[in-house]
Amino acid sequence: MKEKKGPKSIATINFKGGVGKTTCTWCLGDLLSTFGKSNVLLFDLDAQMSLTQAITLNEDGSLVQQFQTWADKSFKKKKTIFHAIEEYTGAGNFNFGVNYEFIYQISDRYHFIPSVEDLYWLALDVIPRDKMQTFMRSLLAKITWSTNVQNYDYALFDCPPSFTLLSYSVLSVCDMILIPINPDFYAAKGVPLILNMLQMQIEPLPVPKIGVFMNKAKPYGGGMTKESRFYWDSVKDVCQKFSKKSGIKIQCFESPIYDRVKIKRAVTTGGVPPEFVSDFKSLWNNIERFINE
Amino acid sequence: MSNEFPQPSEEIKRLTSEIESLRAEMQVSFRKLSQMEKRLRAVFPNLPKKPKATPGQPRQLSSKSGEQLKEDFQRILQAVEESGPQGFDSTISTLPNEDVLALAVELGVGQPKQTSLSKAVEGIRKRIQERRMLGHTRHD
Ligand SMILES: Nc1ncnc2c1ncn2[C@@H]1O[C@H](COP(=O)(O)OP(=O)(O)OP(=O)(O)O)[C@@H](O)[C@H]1O
Ligand SMILES: [Mg+2]
Repeated sequence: MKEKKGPKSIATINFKGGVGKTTCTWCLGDLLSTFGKSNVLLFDLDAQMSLTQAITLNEDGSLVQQFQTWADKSFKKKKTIFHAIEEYTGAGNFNFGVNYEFIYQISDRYHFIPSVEDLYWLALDVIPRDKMQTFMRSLLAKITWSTNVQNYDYALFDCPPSFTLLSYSVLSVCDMILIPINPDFYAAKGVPLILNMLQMQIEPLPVPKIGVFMNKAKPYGGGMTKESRFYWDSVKDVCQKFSKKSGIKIQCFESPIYDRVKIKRAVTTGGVPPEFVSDFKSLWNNIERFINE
Repeated sequence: MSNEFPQPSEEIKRLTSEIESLRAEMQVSFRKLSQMEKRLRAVFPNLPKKPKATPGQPRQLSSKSGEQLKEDFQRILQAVEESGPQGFDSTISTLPNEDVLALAVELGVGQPKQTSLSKAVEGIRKRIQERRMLGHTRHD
């Protein structure tokens, strides 16, 4: 069989809500597809659907008509991610066909698999864990081999702030786990928590590389404030110790994303705000270097 | 349209005029105060001059670099881990005041030239506590 490379996969997660998982994942994808040369496939795995809503709502709150039409059809044709899971974990073969009824095209190079409310059912653990673990690997293989859709260089996953079976199937196979943190005590406190959880949930399978970065860093004179720096140093300290003891590769990226209101409308208005482009470029350079190490 | 909520521009006008009238009141009070003082001095010429807003001696500045201050922080942290709150007090007391103040600034819990020594110590104590609470993982 012909050799075909699947996309590099990056999953953004933190159990702490509101740290910027959705915003930063979206911005990275937008950056890559707009300013870079990559084809990006973005997944919304959160049943809260915040990414899906942000991408598909007009600023007045109404659904973008084009998406609405697409979503209705996708549902009718049983081409949502939930249908894929149902088929994968059901009794029969996994014949789920991948095409643009399953994948929504935001732009030429930026494509999207939205979330559906049905994903809430996955929280109930009604599906066997072992079976679900291999789901995302199989789905990505299908996407890679499908002749109906383009090739993707990167798959980005916006994970919910909890450890669902679906996130398990992503976190246990992705090339990198990306953890955004914020410069406050509770966000920093979430880091050992999530590291412990990732290790406990994923092992005995190998835990992927973990990249950590600071989002909402408070700016001060070209850098971050001393307070933000204190929390960042604390997080680096924890990560270093954890990495040493667990053998898991963790890198803390020295490329913060600063706290600026402009980012709030980034997703709905489509486009990383210009004042964020260089921040996200530096972040991406670090991610890329680490993922290819 | 409802008058329940004033428009921002009205609100700004209202605040500006409030500030103006407060300023006027204060100017009147200041004038009264200095007149009283003048009269007092006329009667008691030997009255001690009013103390200057005491800048005291200029604060000595720490000569330590950020890295050195972080080492101090690590030393305090280790002392607390080994001997609890006493470790904090005994280690911090070995540091000259200017270094304590500089450390507080470095940790983002103090302002240069403004923070008092006791505030600085309490700020550092808070950061030590935070760092200890942040550090626990299942490998400990
Ligand atoms: N760098 C930033 N500067 C300012 N605001 C930001 C920044 N990053 C994110 N935000 C804002 O913080 C809020 C939470 O962001 P977001 O929804 O991306 O977080 P999340 O981690 O995905 O949350 P949830 O846990 O609910 O999924 C949003 O209002 C977003 O606009
Ligand atoms: Mg989110």
